[in-house]
Amino acid sequence: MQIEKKDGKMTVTGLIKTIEDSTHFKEEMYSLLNTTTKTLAIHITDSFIVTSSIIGTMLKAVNVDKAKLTVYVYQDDLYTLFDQLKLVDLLNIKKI
Amino acid sequence: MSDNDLQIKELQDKLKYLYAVMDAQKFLCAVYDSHFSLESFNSAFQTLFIDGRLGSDFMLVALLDSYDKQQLPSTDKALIHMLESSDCVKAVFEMDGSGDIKEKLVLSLTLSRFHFADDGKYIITMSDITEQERVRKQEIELLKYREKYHNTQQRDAFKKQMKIIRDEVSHRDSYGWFFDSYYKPLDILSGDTYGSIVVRDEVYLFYVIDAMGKGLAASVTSIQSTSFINNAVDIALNKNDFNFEAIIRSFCAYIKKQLLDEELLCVTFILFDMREQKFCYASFGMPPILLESSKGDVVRLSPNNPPIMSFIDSNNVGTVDISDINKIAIFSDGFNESMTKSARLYDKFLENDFFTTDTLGNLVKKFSEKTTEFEDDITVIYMRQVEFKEKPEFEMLIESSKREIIMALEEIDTFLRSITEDEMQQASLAMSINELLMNAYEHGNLGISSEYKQNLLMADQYEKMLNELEKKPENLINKIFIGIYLSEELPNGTRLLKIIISDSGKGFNFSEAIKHANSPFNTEFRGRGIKMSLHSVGGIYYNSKGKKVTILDSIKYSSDKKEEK
Repeated sequence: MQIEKKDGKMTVTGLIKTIEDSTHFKEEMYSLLNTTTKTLAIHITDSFIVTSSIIGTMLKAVNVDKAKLTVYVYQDDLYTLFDQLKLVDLLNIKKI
Repeated sequence: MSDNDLQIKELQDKLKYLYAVMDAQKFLCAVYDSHFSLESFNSAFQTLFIDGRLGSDFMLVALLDSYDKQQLPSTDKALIHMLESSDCVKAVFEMDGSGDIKEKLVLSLTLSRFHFADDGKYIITMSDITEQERVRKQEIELLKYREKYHNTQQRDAFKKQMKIIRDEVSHRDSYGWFFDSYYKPLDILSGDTYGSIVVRDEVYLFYVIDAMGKGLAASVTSIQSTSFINNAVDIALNKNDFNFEAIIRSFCAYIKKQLLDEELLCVTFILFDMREQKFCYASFGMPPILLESSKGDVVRLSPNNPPIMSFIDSNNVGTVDISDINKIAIFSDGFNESMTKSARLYDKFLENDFFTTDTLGNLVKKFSEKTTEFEDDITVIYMRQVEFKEKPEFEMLIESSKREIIMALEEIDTFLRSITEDEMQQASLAMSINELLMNAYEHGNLGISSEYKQNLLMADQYEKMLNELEKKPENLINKIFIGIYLSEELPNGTRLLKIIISDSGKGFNFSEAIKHANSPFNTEFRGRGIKMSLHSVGGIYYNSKGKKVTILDSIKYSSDKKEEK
């Protein structure tokens, strides 16, 4: 998994599946939320899976830290997973 | 002043609203409101045209139907651009500098693109919709209130229903059998319900109820039935005189009194005895039970009783030897009678899908691929038995540390790549193993409860606490076992992969955890690992104490493929 950051936008390429991926994602997400506004667009371009730790991190950012996230999901399977977990509205998930 | 003069004055006053957002030097503005006559409109427009510039007492303060305040145009050009890109913009103008009370006016603005005079001017048409917006806002508030009330009612009813439904056996791994269920109510309150109850260590009671009709009316019957059965079983178990036939007889006698004359109720009861290798069943008008032998023959077991009605008496009970049975599926008609994309009933495909799949998760995936919209509640109970090679293909015993888990996951990844070429399956399995290993580490060996984890996450203290707990002497001795097993080739040409993860913790109530994870109202930061695993692999199963979890999934084994070539 690789992460690119630019002006309130975080693009995640490759598969998200390991503990290190979760830690890396969390660090990068908060580095953007802490330095810029609390508005962040996350683009997940390749992965059709995601770890529960990342979901927990994003839910906390929205509900506790009051960040405004928009998660752009490019893979159908990942969107289905978010939908089944009833997270589409909570995390402002958009299907690309 | 005449009525016409008043109208013109009113219209001219409203024109002032435009000033803050538009420069009359650049743009021409027309105002139209349905209660003004065309004559008034023309007079006002002429005044505007002559004056060229309007008053400055009003400013645009908000756009309606827009959640993002950043969309408010900051310049005239931005407003024109916004109007150009949409059919209509509803805007709130606020009167400024007229005392403490600020009057708000809601206007809808549309832009006409036509060249006026000599230098390509714009005409903006404005309609006063203040009153309509006030009424609309009231209606929205009322709808919001109704929706909130309705949601609260539904939420409470769903909680109640889930409390009544008793499912002790789904996702259980016991005596070589794996048990699973799929429950998809069409509405929050469902005509389908089901139950699975541990009668004795090796004897389980299953039932599926399908009340006539759908929704609330059917739900009343099915919930009544479920409550009665669960209570009757509890009483019998407490008195130590559980008798399958007696439970069915007392249930039929009770529910017949509750049914309307034209109402019927379909139920399947199964008493599954793993020690005696048999099951007893009574099916009242339900779809046939599907059975598959070890050789892959699929058999349909028809109901042995008509549906329960107030005036029919029938309590037949049959027995089936399961020593040579590897798969069993009990379901309501919402499953086999669902319409497929090819406009045929799913029943036409069911036997083949049952044969070619090896877990309920994979059967449901095939069902979902073929069917369109659901028209009925769906309930399936699935039982699976399969023999695995005694010796694991892969095994590891690791300490309770994140570092060891990361290393183990890397080795597991390498192993998975060696047995299957399907990269999506490799990733899905790896993700599920990751989730369940973390559960074994956090909740099992380190003994962190879900509630405690939630609190630590809220306080950003979770990682710190894991590091501290890892070093505690009592946790240093706790180990996690990972074993991966393969079955022989099955009649449908696949192999089953069994991945066992066991920890040294106290165990947990997996039925409650899965129920919590599956709740549509779960908004906590934790508790999704199990559900994500369920979504990604064929099935996950726990032993009775919840200290050992098993992942099952069918694979196309790489070596088999090479042999085929």
